[in-house]
Amino acid sequence: MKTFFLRAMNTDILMVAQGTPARLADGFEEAQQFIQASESRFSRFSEQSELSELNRSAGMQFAASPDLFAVIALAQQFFHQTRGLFDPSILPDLRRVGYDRSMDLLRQGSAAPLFESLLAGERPSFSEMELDERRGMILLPPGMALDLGGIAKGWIAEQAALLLSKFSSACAVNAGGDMFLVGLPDGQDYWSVAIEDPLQPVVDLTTLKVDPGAVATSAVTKRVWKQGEKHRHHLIDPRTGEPAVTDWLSVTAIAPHAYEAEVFAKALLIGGPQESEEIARNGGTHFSWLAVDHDRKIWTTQKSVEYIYAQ
Amino acid sequence: MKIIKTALHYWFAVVSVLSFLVGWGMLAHSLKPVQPTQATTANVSSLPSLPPIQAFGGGSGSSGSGLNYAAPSTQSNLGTPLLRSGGS
Repeated sequence: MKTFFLRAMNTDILMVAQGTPARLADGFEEAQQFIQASESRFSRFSEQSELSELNRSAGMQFAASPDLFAVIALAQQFFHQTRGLFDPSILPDLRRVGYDRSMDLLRQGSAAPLFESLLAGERPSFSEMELDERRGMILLPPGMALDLGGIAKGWIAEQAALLLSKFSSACAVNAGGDMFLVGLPDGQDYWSVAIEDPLQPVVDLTTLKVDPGAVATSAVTKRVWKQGEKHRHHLIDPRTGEPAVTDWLSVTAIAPHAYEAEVFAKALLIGGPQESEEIARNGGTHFSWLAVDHDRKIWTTQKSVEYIYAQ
Repeated sequence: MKIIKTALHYWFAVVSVLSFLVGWGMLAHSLKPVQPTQATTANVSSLPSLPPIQAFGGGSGSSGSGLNYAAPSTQSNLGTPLLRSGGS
């Protein structure tokens, strides 16, 4: 297995693949170019990105590229499947609580502005967005702005892995814990995926045995910052417009696609145990999950246990 | 005699203060104890035959949607690249 590392989308990206060195070098190069091009398309931190253009066009019809249209159509589908727990239109709330610049900049100590005086205002529901699939047009209602961070990261990881798979018999692309796995390494019946301790990321809590497909983890302990005296994290609860108060620290989801694993991990983390049954049912028969609570206990379902450990 | 007693008093006082400061300094710079975690305390190499499961939140076991599971400890499978997931 060869590995290739890069930094993009404000996260570490690791690609692993088996094959001949010359073919893999081409594969890594192609996947890297795709990731970098996609980042500049989906980033909300670049004024030149297509997503920023779309957000500026709220209230008007916007002709989207096929990639942006595809991800927004997926976002609309998962908004309904998670009954609004996944909602990319929380961007105004994210900005209000201080996440108005890239996490790399926030981590460098760039102080988040204090907008405490601004109350969470009324914003249009994501369900009001209109998509015209035939013409590739998107109409955001006035006042709506989207953040496609997680779902775009999952989608990009999956597309990059599929590109890489043209040069490799087995490969994986891991974008900050959201990963897509293609094929199986020689002599192996599964991929091993370690789940980090959300409180001590250098420690692994357990290792899953997973089939080709996707694994994604959402956590409230990674993208954190201070706004005045308040500790903030990036996971906004669409029901309140505030960083979610969660029973769990992280949720890992295993699903056929990286974008759906990412979305369902986020929805489970926000919804918590009360919503987990409904969300898992919507995830379908190939969906498994586990959660880590504040005492580092792992919570899951019997079905998930059988799938992710007993292969 | 009085001079010797006074000198001894000063000697004990100075040595006590110095010993306290040296001890404090050593403790302050010593390695902190490692907090045990599930990963370090668990030592199960494969799926237990009957995982200890309890219903989430103390509800009835059959209807609980979440289960607390004592997971196997981390183990890397030789030859298989170990990927890590923890959010970003």
